[in-house]
Amino acid sequence: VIDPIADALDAFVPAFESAYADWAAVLRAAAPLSSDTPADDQSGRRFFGARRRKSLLVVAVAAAALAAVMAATPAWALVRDVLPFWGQPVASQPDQRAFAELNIGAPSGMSPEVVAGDTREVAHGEYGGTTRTLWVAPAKDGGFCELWQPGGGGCTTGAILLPLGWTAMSFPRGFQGSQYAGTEWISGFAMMGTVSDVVIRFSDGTSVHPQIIWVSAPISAGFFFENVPSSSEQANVTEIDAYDANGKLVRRDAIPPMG
Amino acid sequence: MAAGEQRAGVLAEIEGVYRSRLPKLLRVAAAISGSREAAPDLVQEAFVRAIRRLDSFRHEGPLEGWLWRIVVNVARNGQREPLTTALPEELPVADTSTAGAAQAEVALVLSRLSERQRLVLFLRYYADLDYAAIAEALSISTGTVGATLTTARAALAQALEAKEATL
Repeated sequence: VIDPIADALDAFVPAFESAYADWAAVLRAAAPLSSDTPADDQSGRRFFGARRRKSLLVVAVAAAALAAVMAATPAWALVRDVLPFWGQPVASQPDQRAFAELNIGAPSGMSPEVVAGDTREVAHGEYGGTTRTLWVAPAKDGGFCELWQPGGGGCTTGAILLPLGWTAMSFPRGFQGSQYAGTEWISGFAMMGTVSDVVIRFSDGTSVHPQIIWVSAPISAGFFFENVPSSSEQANVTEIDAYDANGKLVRRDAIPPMG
Repeated sequence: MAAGEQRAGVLAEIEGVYRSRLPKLLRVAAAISGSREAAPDLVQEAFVRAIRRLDSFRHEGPLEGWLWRIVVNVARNGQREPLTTALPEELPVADTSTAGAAQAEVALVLSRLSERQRLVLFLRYYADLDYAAIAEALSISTGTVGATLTTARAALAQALEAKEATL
């Protein structure tokens, strides 16, 4: 059925295909200006942006790191292939500072209380055509903050934690003019004990079960990142579903269609 | 539940709305403000205000409706130019003159509707909100939403038909 009004409105403002949900930037911007804030970070918007680029010579692919720590991992962890958080490489000072700045001047009761000094590397690899590192730091009152370098990130902290969070990354290709060039990769997290499997569904009917890197306490969550297959680059990511160990749907995030 | 936990829970809900509705939020902000480029900043500003005013959320209605109301208000305040003059430069669709012309025509038609009619249309079509959610977002009754949507659709359809007829 052709709806001329819908067609007209589509022409007026085409859909924003998938957008980069930079929740950390929102929290950062919600914080009052602080004299302690570094001069290069006054905008707030770019807090979780590309702060630095790690050398491409750094070889610490997630799988290799996982294999290394698994050798010294107790049996309980092997059951679920859980990455022991404290056994992971410690973040450099600049990366720790990127997390610490999340706490600076946050509105009362809104600071993620991230423990920047405990930041650890969880994954390292090529996503969206760029070599990136995923850093994760625990929060004092539960939850964690995650940050891709280069890239972006966010926080899930506090007494009530979302079972699933995700971001559809479109950079570095991004928009070509005003035309969306397609999602390049999907990054997200799933809470351990609540979620066992994640399914990313595309409008062409295909779907993927991204590999999830489960990380031990104090993080107690899994992180997934999936390069969107080239055949699906122009397809919509329509849904991201999370299932528990019994296959029961625990979270369904429907994503608006591309225009 | 302690106040801190409740606050954290509401913040988590806000984050959930932000993450799951962002493309729709951007589209509505772009439509209201007349600027696709400004939409990300407007949406961010709206959520910043929501966080700062968390204590003003009274739990008397759905949180998402409250958030949409803030987005609408911020986007309205961020409207830079009258709708008809904001196009096509501010809302580029594609690098084709056909798309740009179609966009400008729709903008002209929309400019003849009342602001309430436009807002109801945007929230219904771009955000896919039901009548209750639109009512919450615009602080009007669901009956008013229905009536406004009906008249807006009729006016828009009539204007589009008239346009077709002149081509």
